[in-house]
Amino acid sequence: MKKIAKIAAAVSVIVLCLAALLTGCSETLTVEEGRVMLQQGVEKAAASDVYYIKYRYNDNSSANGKYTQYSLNVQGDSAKFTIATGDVLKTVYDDTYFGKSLKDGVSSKNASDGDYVTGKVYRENDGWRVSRCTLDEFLNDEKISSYNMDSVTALLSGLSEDELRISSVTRTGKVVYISAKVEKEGNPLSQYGDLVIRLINDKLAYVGDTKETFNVSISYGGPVINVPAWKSETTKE
Amino acid sequence: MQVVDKAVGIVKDFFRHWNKPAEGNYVGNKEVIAYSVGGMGVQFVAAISSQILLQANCLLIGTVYGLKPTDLAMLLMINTVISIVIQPFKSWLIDNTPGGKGKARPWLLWLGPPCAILMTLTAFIPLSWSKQTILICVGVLYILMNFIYQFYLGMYTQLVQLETPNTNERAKIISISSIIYSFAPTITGAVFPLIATAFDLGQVDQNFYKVIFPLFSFVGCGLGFFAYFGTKERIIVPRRQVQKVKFKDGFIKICKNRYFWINNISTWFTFARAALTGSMMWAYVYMLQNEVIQSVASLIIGTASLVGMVLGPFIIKKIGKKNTVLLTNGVIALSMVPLIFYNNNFYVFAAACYVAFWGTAVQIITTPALSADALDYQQWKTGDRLEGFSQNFAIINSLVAIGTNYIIPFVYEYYGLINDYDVLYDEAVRSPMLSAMALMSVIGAILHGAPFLFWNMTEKDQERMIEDLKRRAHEQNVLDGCADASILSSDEHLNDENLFEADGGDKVVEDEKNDPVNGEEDRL
Repeated sequence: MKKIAKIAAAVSVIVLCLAALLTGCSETLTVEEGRVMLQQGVEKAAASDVYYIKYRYNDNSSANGKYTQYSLNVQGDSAKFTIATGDVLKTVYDDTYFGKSLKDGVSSKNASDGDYVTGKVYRENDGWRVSRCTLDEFLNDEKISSYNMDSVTALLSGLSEDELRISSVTRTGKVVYISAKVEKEGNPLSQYGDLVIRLINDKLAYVGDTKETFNVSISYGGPVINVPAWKSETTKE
Repeated sequence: MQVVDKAVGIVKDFFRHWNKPAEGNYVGNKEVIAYSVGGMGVQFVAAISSQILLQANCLLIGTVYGLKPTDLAMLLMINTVISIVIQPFKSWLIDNTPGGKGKARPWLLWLGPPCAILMTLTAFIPLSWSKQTILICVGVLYILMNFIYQFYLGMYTQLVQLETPNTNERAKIISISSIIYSFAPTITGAVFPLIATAFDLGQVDQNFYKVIFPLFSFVGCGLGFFAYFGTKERIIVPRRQVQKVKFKDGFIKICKNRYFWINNISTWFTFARAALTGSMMWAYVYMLQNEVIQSVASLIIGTASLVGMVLGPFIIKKIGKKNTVLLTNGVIALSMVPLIFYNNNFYVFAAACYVAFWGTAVQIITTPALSADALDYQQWKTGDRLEGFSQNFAIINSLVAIGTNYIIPFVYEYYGLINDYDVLYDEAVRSPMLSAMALMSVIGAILHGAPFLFWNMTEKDQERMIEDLKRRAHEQNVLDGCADASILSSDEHLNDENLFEADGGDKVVEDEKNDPVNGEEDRL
């Protein structure tokens, strides 16, 4: 019995040591190191052609705690832009797609080239409409451009030491945590006060305020996009 | 033709013992079926419970409610502390179940409805509430729900230990019932993804949970009543024995039982062993991204449990329960090794998990059977039935869990999963994380099996102990002036042939060195 108790004690010690070891894996970096890492992280983000960006604005001032989320999922040759508005009752989604859309009612087996249209696919009264365009044109569409990758990276690019005040930088495993404040006039982030910025695998992954009223998160992969079949086509004027 | 005759013979034999058990057994097949159907209900409730975990890989709590892994670990710790505090009360309730209908059965009647209500409420927390409010709501509901659910599930599992003192019959009942009740997770595994297609965000849409939680938890609760109405408990006990054990004395007694230690130390590593298989939902949602294939894959993977539970009794018969546990843990460890190096292909991932699920399914039979053997040993050794009391061992397990609960969330955060679960779509984040989980599963499976190297009670030893217990109970009845009274708590009378079987009892009494503890004390 003593042997069993000893084994139990030894195992407990191993488990506790392992837990202690893991919790001691954080490393504090200098502000300068953080600044360089952030700049590189932003550049790497800008170079990605596959990404899934979500902007979320929480309205905690109302009793219902409403929120609005803009998400842009770009998977190389297709994209989906969603506006989701939610409150205590339900969330309403408004989707716009980019990609190769097959004409409604035509099976892919019998489809001819003319049945496929590449462009922006959006819902209008009677069903899905398609408007021919390129991916670049789609991402720079008036409704979407504020939420594309260029807009995110612009928030943190070209800021001087005075404009981006970094207070602390720590690294835990693959994640770098930067606490900072944007003080550049006109930069949208300046209204949110203290920010938390995260880099994952040295790429920009998250920017949000500490009060959780706003955040933008980026993943370099996203859900598979199934572009809806188009019912009618909008011709360019 | 011979095969057909044999099959007909098996069916006839099954119905011949519909009400009256076979020779040497205690439980009729009608009761086995009632227990099994009740088990389906319990498993429907369990399927919902598996959707409400304080873990990052839980889609509702993690992805939908967006709670951080470390916050979840903190909630888990609070839950653990509360569990430790109320555990003695729970044990006392089990050993002092009111109503005289047994120790386990009544709880199946009383706990099902509140469990279903709490599960349902968990799906209805408004997303617009602040993260802190959601965290508090999830915490309160989980702690209440988990206490009731664990109690409910534990009583269902314990019921089979009380239905018969025959270890082989127990293994048979566990095997049959687990085959039948495994239809429940097979159904939910296939149906959940299909139901999810009706919602905008599939399995990460809160409305999906608002439908499946009330539906399956209440249906499960209803089916669970079969296990109450269709079964009996049969403890071997002298007619007039009234058991009263003080907390301290009981605790000392269970601490001196090596088999409780072995069973419980092994469970300390269950979390690590399941580190990767617990991420199966992530593989579906973030890797596969196809709900139709997911539905088919769930059905196929569900067969792993069926195969495990069908083969389990044969493996146990061939090599014994102890060796079965060692073998299956070895198989689980080996199946996880390839995933340390390559885990980006869903089909490779699913194949490895299939093997691991098979091993775990076999242990669905061995785990309660070994726990029951440990309880029989306790009764043989000290005369105490400590079903409820033995659960106080959970206090020690909970203390260990306080430390271990933080390990997996830490690994998640280490690789970049903080509170935005969409990072799992990124292979560069997901793959190294899954490699670490696979390594943890390998180590967990080895550590899970290792304590059983010290298990030295054979099936034969257990049979001898039961014979001895029957003899002692009968002798006590004679001394108490009620020689004709039943030695079973169900008041049923045994057939003459299974009152004292041959020389079994004498052998235990005469041959003290066969005592699995006394004879081996020097080895400890």
